[in-house]
Amino acid sequence: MSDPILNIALWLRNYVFSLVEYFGKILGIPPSMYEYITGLIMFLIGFLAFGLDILFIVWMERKVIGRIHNRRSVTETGPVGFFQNIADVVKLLVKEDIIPLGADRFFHDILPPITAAVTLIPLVVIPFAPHFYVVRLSISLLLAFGVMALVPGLILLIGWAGGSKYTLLGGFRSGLQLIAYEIPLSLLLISIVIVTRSLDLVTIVESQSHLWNIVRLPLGALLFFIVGTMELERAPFDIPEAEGEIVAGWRTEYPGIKFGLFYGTEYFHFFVTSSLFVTLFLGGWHGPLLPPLVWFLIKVHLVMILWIWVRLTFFRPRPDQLLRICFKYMIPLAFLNLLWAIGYVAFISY
Amino acid sequence: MAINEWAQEIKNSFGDAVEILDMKWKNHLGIRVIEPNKVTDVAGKLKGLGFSQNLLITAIDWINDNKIEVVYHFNKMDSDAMAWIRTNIPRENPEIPSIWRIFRSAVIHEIETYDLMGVVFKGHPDLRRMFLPPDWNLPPPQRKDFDPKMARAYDWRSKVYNAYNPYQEVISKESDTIYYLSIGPQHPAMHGCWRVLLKCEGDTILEAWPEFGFVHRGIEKLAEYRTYEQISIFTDRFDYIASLAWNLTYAMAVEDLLGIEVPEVARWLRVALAEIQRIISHLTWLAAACADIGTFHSMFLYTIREREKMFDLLEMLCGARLTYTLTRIGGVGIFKHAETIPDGWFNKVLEVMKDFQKRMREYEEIVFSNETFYVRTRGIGIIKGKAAIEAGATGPVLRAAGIKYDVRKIAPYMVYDEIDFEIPTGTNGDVFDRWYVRFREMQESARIVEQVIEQMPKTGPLRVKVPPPKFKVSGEGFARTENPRGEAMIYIIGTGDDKPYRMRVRSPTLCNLFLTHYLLRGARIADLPAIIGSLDPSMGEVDR
Repeated sequence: MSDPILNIALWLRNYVFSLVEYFGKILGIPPSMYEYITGLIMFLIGFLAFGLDILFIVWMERKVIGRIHNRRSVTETGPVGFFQNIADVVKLLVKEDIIPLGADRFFHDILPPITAAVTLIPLVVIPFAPHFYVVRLSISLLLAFGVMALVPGLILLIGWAGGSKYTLLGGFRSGLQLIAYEIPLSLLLISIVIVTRSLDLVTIVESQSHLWNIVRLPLGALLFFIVGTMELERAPFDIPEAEGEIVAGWRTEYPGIKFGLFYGTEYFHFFVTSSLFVTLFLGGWHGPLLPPLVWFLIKVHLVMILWIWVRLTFFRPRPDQLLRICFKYMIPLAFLNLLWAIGYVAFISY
Repeated sequence: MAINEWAQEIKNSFGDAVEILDMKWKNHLGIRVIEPNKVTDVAGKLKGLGFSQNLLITAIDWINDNKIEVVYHFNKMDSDAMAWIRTNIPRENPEIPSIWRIFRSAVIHEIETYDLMGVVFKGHPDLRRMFLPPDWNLPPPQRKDFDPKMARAYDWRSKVYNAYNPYQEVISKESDTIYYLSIGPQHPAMHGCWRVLLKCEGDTILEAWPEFGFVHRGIEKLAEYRTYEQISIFTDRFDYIASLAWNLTYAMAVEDLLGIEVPEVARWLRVALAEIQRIISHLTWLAAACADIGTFHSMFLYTIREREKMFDLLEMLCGARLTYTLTRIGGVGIFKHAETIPDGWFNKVLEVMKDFQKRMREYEEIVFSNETFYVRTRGIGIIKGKAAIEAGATGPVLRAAGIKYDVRKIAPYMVYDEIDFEIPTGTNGDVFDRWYVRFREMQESARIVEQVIEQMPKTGPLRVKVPPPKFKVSGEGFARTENPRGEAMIYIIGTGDDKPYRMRVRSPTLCNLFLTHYLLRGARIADLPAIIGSLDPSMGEVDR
């Protein structure tokens, strides 16, 4: 137990447990429930920290974009404009909730929170540090990517529920994008499994303690970075919400905090995909000197900055060109990567 | 062939039905057609003589004579010759055959004349309300008996509420896979308030109908209530991105009307200003067009930075940063002598231009070394060669189509004939070529500015003595210039009053934007912003 952050977390957990014990006795809660209640409170504390990190990421993206654009970005609200995001959320909360005539009211209301929740599910299996995860499953890799593949389906539903041609077009484009990137993504995951011989993310990270997967599978890392851009629906592959073509795509008709939820979802997704990239290719928590959690977060944020940089540099391809990129180049390259992985396991690592 | 031979040929063909007019301008062929129904025949003959584009149709409401005079302006691609057809039609029943089968570029001008002047062009393929609300029931707004007070009481919201009314015939349930998509009036790709109605199947556009007039201000009519000096302030508002270019066109038209020549220094300075304005306009285009095809405004911020430096230059001269009214009738601004130009302005211009050329190479590298840019712009929105002339393309769009046509070379005004510059042209006529042409034009403009600053005389009068502000004049004034967006033209008629009787403006953006009707056919929805962005829309000019 040399990890200071884990020590702090354990101390916090024990402290919360003693509090639960104290109040549980007063309120008459059966002692068998204490563990669960403590777990729930710890989860909420963790989620709060995650939310703060999301606010930091939004601020970071604004600042990085400003730097690349040669301008100052947010400066006024709070120190170096840090509280601008909070002001934005408050603004979105007080906006009028306008539901268009053609929209399906029930789905219009219910889909934004569902999408946000679904995007967050992969977080439960991502190992932030040794012993620092919510659950450990033997198939956590499958769970993470299976849940993430649900999001385009939800977006299609969102586009349909918006009751406008623009939202529907955006939804269809999202479905098209899923068809385009899902095959190379699956092939990449297979290559990871072959090299690390596990579907468990914790084992995958542990197997990279001496050599990161980015060295073992350089082509795979590059392809995953591109596929991740498509999965994130960030520029240059922000086709489902292409401003200038279909206004804001699938979120055109969603006002106020519903838009805010989508905006938050984008960053949840950003964090999740970035952590998966770090977990699969950049050795997860491994690193010298600093505590594992710090290393993990540093890597996650650096990968995010890389994605922001890409966002500002390339022009957006057309939907049909995206299909062509995926089917004509990405799938053959992913197969090549798979062959490389098999060869690596057969000749190099043995 | 010379004008006289053409005139002789027209006279031989049509005999007494036509009358050859004495034109005030060199190399202009004027034809008065006595019988309006003969207009198509005369136009066909002109096409046979090599006149290739219908630049403008002007209708003048001579209310005292109870007639409407329709004036057609034609140009040639290879010389500065122009042809005018003038004909009179009765005011009550203003009907005239359409010339669209001979000059397809006349389609949009006929629609505009029908809409604003009430002249019915028989045989026109799609004569409908383009600028006015679909259920407009007042007299045509540019006629002399139209009272602006009537328009004040009119419910203008029908322009938006009944927007689908003119399309009832085309919108039909042909099949389940076809749907209609209205892009605009408010849409990020439109750069202003206009609309394209698309008929789509899946991701492919089958038909497109552009529609304008959502911010129409009726400046041509307003000009009839203002003195000549006052109108030059309106000309800023035609194209707010390139206001100096329109200032120049207007000043040239009125100087032509008055018959005055501006001093040597002013002629040079005007060219420098027009070219700085061209760079500003193209930089603004580059900023917007890059954002259109998705770079998240990276280039936007860079080019706007260069634009600010150019604004500083113009601010030094007149204090304004967007609408300058700097090129005025008889000179440049309020300067009486070249010595009144602020100290160090010329050096600052050279400095900015040098810096700009350095930056330009940087931007060229950013854009043209980006593979995604090629993928996005090659082979879409193609219009080239004769088709572009036919459809009425103008300016950079026409040059990208491979036609070496530039008013600065064909019919040099001011001092353009003394300057060495090239006309960049494209080959394929696609979106990429339009980008390339505008990039090269910016570099050529910078070269022109440098030459002008080096060669121009720095002393001498900068302003000719013009009549007092409320001068009265009768006659015709005409000027055409190469604006950043294409060939601009102002035709102004005075009848001995201190206000013009009629002012007619040819907007190059209108001609180029009407091309969307042809260009968007068969394109994909994702190509729409790239194509529209490559046409450089400026709605102030269309809805003037």
